Amino acid sequence: MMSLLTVEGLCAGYGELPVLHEVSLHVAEGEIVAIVGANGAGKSTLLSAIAGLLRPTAGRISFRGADITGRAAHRGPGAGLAMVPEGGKLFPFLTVEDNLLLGGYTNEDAKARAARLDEAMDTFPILRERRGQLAGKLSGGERQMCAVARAMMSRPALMMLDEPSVGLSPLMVERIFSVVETLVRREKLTVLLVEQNVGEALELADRAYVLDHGAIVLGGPAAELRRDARIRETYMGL
Amino acid sequence: MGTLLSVLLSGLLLGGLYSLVAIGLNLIFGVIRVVNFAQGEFVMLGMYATFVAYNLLHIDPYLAILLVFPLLFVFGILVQRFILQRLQNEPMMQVFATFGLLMLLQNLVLAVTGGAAYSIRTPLSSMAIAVGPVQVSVPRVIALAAVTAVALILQWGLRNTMTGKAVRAVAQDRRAARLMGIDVERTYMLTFGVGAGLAGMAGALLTPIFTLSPQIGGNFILAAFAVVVLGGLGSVPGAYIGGFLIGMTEALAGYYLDPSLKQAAWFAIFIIMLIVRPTGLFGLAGAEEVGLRVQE
Repeated sequence: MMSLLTVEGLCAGYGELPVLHEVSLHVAEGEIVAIVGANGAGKSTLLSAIAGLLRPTAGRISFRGADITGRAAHRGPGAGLAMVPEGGKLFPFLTVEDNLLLGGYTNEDAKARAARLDEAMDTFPILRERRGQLAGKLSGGERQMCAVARAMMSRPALMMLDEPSVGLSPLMVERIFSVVETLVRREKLTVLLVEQNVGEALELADRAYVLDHGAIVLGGPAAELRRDARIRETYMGL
Repeated sequence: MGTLLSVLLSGLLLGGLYSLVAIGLNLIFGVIRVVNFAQGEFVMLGMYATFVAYNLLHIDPYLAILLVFPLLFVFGILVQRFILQRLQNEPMMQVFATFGLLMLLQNLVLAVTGGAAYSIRTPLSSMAIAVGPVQVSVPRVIALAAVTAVALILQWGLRNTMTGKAVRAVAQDRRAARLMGIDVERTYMLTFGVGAGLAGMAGALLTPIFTLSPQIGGNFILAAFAVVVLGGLGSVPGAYIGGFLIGMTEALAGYYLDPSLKQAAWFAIFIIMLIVRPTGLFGLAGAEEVGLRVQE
């Protein structure tokens, strides 16, 4: 399988504070890869660096064979890289529909964008009901669905999800994850997700990496990691 | 009765002028979160540009809008790109920079003109029409019509075009906007450019009414700040309607209280508003944090 995303020796941080230490990972086409770890392990920093929101201090990121290290974040969606930030980060004073349309901002063709909007609302019927409402008025689960749908508007090859389960009920987490699985199958989507909810993430993912204090300490097929005694003890409380 | 009508009409027309200056100021504040102290000086530049166009190229002040708007638009883009963007991470410094720009532009124009007072007299500028028993000046009516058109077009564009939606997205969450593929820095340049262009347009519309001076921006900018606070930070309709409220207050206080108290009256409202309802009449809670608002 072809590698869609490759990260080699990535270092990044905030100002003088280094967070990531030579992180290397790869994501193949069609995979769901999870990065799990405790709060503050550097998971969100890693996604930010890949998305271009944060400039790495060392290392290399390549996506679809092109070097995208330090590329401006706004060039991501047009190139097939979309991200769902933690908490969804919808535009609270725009309607659900406008939020979704902005997900397709890089698509110049208004007709194609409208068709895509229709598809998104077929995938998430609740968003069709709420299309005229302000996004800030959505419930937590609806907000996360809207954020996923918004990211899908640009027809990404890779969707990165930052802590999609935060603040959601277990039932809602299952629903969101099952939609992600559907999208992977239907749209040939590849997913890189970051999760604190290690149990759920390892259920969904094909492969996973464990990030600890800014470094990858473990990696492998999710099924194997689920059985790993260290992981069960440290992250799943079993 | 005729007196009250006359006072209200003059307040309405004055309010139109205030709205005109306030809309650009509020657009810039709402999106970029920069209080542009030099906005009044952009108006002043617009007035001088109109004056030059009239005297050298014999272009009517109203036609000069087609020249002055693009001129100030480009000027605004340059200010945003080469001054404010460099201070992106230091909001206080941005405010000081716009204040520095205010001083610079005033003194530059003072040096060039030597402080001479210029004015334009066109056939339209001294014309008046009768509204019942009251005579109203035609240039003020034109300014009122223009600001109404600007408010409607701006509001429509922000609500219905993709660029408008992108501008609002940037105002609400610039990080998330980047993730949508929106070039935030370019959006800022566009917004500051339009804000400055609107100031230039205001200048062209004010030229037939007022005598030019390098300090004239100050006459409008204080009122414009009051308008913005009253109407709601970042709200286009708020700036529009707020202008009329301030204009009416000034006219009523000037006639019924004392002419010297007319500005004190809206300053009092300004301060009371800041204390009682800092979000303004049309702002929602947290607008000073969230920025540009378009009522849905």
